Amino acid sequence: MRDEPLLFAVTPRMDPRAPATWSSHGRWAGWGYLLPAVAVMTAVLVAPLAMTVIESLRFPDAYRTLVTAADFWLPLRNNLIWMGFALVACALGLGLALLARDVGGRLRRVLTAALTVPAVVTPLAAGITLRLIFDFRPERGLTGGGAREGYLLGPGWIWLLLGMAFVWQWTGVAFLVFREGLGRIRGDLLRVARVFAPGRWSRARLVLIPALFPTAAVAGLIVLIAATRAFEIVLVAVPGSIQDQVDVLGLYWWRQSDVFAPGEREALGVLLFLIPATAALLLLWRLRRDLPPPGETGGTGRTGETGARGPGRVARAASALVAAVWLTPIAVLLLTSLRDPVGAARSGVRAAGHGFASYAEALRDGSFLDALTPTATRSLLVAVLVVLLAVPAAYGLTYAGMRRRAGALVVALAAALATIPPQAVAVPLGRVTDRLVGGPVTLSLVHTALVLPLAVLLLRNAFLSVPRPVVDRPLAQGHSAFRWVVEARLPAVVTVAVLAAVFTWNDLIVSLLLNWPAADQVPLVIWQQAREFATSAGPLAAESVMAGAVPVVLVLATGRWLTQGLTQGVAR
Amino acid sequence: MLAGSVAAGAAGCAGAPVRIAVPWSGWELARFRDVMRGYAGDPVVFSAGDSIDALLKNPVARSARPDVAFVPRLGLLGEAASGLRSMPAAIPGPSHAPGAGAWTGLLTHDGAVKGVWFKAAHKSLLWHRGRNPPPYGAGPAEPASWAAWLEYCGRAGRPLLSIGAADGWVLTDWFENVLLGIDPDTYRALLPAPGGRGPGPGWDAPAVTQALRYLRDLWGMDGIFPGGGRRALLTSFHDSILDVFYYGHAEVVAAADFAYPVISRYGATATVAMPCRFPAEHPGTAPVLVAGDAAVALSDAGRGVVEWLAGDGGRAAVRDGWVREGGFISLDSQVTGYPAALRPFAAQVIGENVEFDLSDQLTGRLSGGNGRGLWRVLTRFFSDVTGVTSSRDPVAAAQTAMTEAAR
Repeated sequence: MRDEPLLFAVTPRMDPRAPATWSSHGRWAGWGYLLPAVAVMTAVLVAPLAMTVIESLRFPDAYRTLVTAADFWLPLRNNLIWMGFALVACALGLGLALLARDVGGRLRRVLTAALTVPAVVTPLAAGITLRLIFDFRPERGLTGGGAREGYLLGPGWIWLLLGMAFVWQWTGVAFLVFREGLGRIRGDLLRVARVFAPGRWSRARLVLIPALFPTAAVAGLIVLIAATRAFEIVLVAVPGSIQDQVDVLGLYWWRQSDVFAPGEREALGVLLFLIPATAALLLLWRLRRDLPPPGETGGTGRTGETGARGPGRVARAASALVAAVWLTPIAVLLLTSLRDPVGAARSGVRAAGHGFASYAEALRDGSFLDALTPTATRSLLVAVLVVLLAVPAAYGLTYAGMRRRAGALVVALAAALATIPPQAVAVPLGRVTDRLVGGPVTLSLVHTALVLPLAVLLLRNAFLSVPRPVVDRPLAQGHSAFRWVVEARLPAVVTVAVLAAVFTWNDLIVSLLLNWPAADQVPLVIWQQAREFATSAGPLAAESVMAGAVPVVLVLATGRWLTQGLTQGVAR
Repeated sequence: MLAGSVAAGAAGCAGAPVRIAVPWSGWELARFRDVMRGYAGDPVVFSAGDSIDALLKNPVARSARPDVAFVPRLGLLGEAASGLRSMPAAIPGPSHAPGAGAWTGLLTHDGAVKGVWFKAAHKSLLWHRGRNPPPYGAGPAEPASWAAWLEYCGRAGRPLLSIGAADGWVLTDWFENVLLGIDPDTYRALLPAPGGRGPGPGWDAPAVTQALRYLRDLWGMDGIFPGGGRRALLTSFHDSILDVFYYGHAEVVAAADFAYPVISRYGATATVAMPCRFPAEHPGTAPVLVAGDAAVALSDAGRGVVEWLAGDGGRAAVRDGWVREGGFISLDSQVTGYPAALRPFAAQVIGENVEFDLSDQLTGRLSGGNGRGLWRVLTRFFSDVTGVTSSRDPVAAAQTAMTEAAR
């Protein structure tokens, strides 16, 4: 979930109501609320990023060496392929969101859950699952065997595997965003469209797509950032002989770091930041122009939804099919984890005989269990820290009398900071963490800073949607409205905490770069079993299931809050 | 709650445990953890797999450096030597057999011994599939020479060989065995000079051309690999063993002694594994290619672990566990208890006429793991000669790539 930020950053908020600057807050009160979050983001993101930029500029040849290296262009091209995957995931997300409007009740909830679950498990588990499915051996994989084997061994199969793993994970996020977007389209617009535009397609072309453009930009951006950060999936799902063909820049940065010229590693780090940051700022700028004036969109509620229409049989069948397709990888993972290790190595899921032997083997040496507590502790710590820092910051940006222009600047900065990849800040951070005692706490601070921009943006939007009287009453009496605002938007606060915890729980790369030898991060422990993938399939699947269960249960348990929180976070 | 979490986090790093990076994963990792159970102090053992270079040479943070690392690639050792603790002269060495001096020499940099050999491997083995009861002596004869072997394979008319071409080190092992069987002198000339000057001239030698030609002739045989070259490129080392000993798609796999536990665990119960020596160009000169994992210490705490492993405690822990289950050869000539099939080969490893793995000693652009160095050149070569990709003259292309990378 780390790549959420822009969803909220680019949902512009043009508040038609009178500014609340007449309140008890002084002009600098807003900055006071912002200070802790700004301090953490400056220390952990801005300063290291600046150091990376300076280091890359200190060597005049760094950028030229980087782009003239023969090996540089293939990973760059591959990053473009990943951007293509992002488009596919968005298109599918939109299609499914449209489909879901025509189905109601339980089926819709099942579809939402089926699409959301892959998004909250670690990308490592997604890579492992798809590699199990795409096993080329007819004796093991689901897709191998028979005439199709030749096709699966073709040069394109690895891209099919990677693309499907990515689409499987990220379509759900695009779906959620589009569902919110569709829900906010004005009902009267749709009624007019129904009268004047005959046919579903022309209605979509003339009304829905233009009205959905801002939402599409948001969804596209989130998924695009995820695509530019592809790392774990490639690491775990690709056999060694073709790793170099599917290399991506993030991995290239890590693998080639020992042969880079001075400054070259930093130059690549800067590039890794500039690609998504440019996209983010372009879209932010674009959105400000494309949005209709605020008055037109206010207060329509969810009238855009067409749930009142009779449930189409086709739509219901299609939704059920999609949910089934999306749950299939999970079923494969579960079934593989229930084979014994030897059975899973020999015949994958394609044979009878189940039990918990793979779980026993995964837990036997204790390394997985040893990592559970530190990972959980860090996740909890990060969730708490993020809430403690982001809630005041979001309040500072909304009702603490900050100047509108200054607030807009902070929002734009936060949107840019949200796109920082760990590679762009890791080296300077590594230099600092060496001197600090207490690895787990230091690491938690890094995780906190990486989620913080997103959290602030989400909460800011949620706070802005608080009904006016809730804010005005305490302000008029000369009190702070802080408590009332937070109470009114508790679901959004819970959402932020859950996002932070899930991000930290699933993290591989920050721990890999800064704290690998501690081996106390669950995805790292899973990854280290993956070297002999074929014969470790059973325990690998078991560990993936256990690691994935935590965020899935957390998200499903707080699902009602999360739905409200997300709605508040993007509501206008 | 926050205070509690911070306290919990801080407590975890109070008496920081020793951190040990190993290249093994899965079953082998579990065996090593068993060994470390005998060491007081509850160390953290983690697997860096093929990525141990990134960890030792240029870690992002010093905090991301382990205290002890098991290094399979000696080239890496030279490049990281400055950060390694020297071993005391009086380290309780194992009862070394004839070749001991050469092994220790490999770990010596600037006059100081930088590590201790933990595990050795015999890499010149071919594993044949037999039936139960074992027809020892009646199985396929050890190929006497390359000519004989090529003829045998050519006559078979069915997929005979399995190869884990997805793993670059499998291909380099093949190449090294062939080259060593043709001309040991050329093989030695390719080794980096002691001062770490990088590989000397010699990649354009005729023996290298001949080795590549033999490989082209064998790998390029129609239908020699089950499913063809494309499938072989996706087949991992363990999969290639399953191919022979469980699925029965092929009959022979070239693999080191550490294939033994994989065969006994995942192989079909009715099959018997029969190892024999890799052929040479001429009868009677079969190569013994060896490799090993050396334990190096990056901190004083780490040195304690390495000394313990080299001492009586560590040797006993290895002897009573990993050695018995197979796939572990000790350089200690007193260690017994190897599985019967491996016993003669364990004796060869500690003998005098061995050559250490070439690719593990390379430095510079010929070194490196997946997608890099010699691994990459040979992966490309394999793909060319098996028809997955096309090249007019794969032998010349590979040799040119090697020569250029060595410059």
